[in-house]
Amino acid sequence: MKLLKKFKIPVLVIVAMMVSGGLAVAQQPGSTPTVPWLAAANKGDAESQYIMGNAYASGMPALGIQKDPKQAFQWYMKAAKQKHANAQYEVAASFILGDGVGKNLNAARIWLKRAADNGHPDAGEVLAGFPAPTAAPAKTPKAAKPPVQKRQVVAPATGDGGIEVAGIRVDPMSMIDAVVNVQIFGPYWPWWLGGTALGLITVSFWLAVKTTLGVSSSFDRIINWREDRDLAKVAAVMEETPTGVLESAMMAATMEQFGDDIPDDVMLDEGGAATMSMPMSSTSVRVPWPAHVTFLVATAVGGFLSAFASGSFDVQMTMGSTFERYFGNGVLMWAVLLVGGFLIGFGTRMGGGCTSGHGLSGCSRLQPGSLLGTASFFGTAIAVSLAMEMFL
Amino acid sequence: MSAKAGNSKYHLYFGLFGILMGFTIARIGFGDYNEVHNLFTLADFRILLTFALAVVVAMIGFAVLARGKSLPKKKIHPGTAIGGVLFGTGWAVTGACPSIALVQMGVGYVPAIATGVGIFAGAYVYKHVHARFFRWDSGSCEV
Repeated sequence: MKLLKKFKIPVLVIVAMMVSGGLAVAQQPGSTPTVPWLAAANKGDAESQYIMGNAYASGMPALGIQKDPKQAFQWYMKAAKQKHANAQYEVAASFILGDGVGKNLNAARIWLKRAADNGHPDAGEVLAGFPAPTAAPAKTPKAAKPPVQKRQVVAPATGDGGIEVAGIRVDPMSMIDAVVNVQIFGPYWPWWLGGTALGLITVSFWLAVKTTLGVSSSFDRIINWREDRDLAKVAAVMEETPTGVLESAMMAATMEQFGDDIPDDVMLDEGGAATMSMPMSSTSVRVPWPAHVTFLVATAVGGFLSAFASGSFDVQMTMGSTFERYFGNGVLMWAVLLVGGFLIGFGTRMGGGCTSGHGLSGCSRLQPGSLLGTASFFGTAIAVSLAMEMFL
Repeated sequence: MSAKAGNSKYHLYFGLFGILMGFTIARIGFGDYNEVHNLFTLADFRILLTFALAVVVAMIGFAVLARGKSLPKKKIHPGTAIGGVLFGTGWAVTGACPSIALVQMGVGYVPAIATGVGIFAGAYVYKHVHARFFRWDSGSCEV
């Protein structure tokens, strides 16, 4: 335990550094040229993001945009994640050329596949020639608004490292690269990876802290910090006071309350002290409430680390394109979020759990309350979302 | 073990698991309103599969590691279904559950702060409404 105590400060320092690093990134001056598409791009419009990518790919000095492959890649990636076919093709091109991002052929292949699936005319062709050393046709951006310097997309040459297994060339290094860059820090995780991670976290959380995972409870415990403090005070007094003193104090209080005429059967005998001892909660550990604050802050930090690592961290005043389509980005947005948040807080406490408490740790133990609760909130969310799609 | 050392142990564990969970949720795409909306309009089953697998993995884990141990029970009470309806509505509209709201903030969605404030307010109001009117036995769902 001494060791943990020692590490408390370094951990805090690291977290503080991460947060301040994130703020610094958010306020980078280079990202604020006055470009007509920037506002829409920041709001999540894929086409505008793609145009921003093009602008940075070739540079537009008239608008104060210097050629910057890294920025270009970031914008392409944003649009690509929204299934913009041309942007996906550009992302693949960047991975092939190592332009603004590390060269990564497996990542390129994955994005080419996506671009082809989304109907990009050239992606399939380049993909088919992958990884044969043939020159792929140069890409032609659909929107020719900013003049784009065409990057020559050349499918990579084979033979640079790697081994052949059953007629298929396998390059272990580039495969590790693909796993790290695409699966862990790239676009969203496939279901098998996310599901395994989430399930393991649920179980190991209980193994480590001996309480089941439940985030809405953390909110609740923070709200009830006063009760926590009082309980801790009582516990401290109980611990410090010798049992004999407690016993006589309780007896004195009882006498005062009921007088001397207490029937004999209520009077405690000599052995009564044992049965009088405080019943300690044995089913779950009571975690001090500040640890729940740490938990909530750490959850946000985890989200930040993920976004930062995948290069998608971006401070924005909207909730993304879909949300905006329904509720805009003004007063209505704030009102909807506040009221919606209120429903979440009220509903989860009323139902006794949220996605983690009911959905994960409850359903996995087949708790009846959790099964009903999860069916209820999932079912309602589906019904309301379908209704939104139909009527809004 | 002194109380203070015990506290720093909890901070370390909760901090570690918070980061792991937030990272995982963000990597799944749970913090992205588009993805969540696709889940609930049944346009994309990826997150649904993710969640189902997580439950199965946790089920196996608990079955193996927690056999014979007493874990908190989740009972059905009058608030279970109604609370679920309220929460489900909030989730569909904001795209957030209590942990997702925090992930949204971390990923860079500033307006998610309003969702977080709303959750605190809702939980606070429920605490008093419950004490005043309902007083259901919601089981020991405390962490």
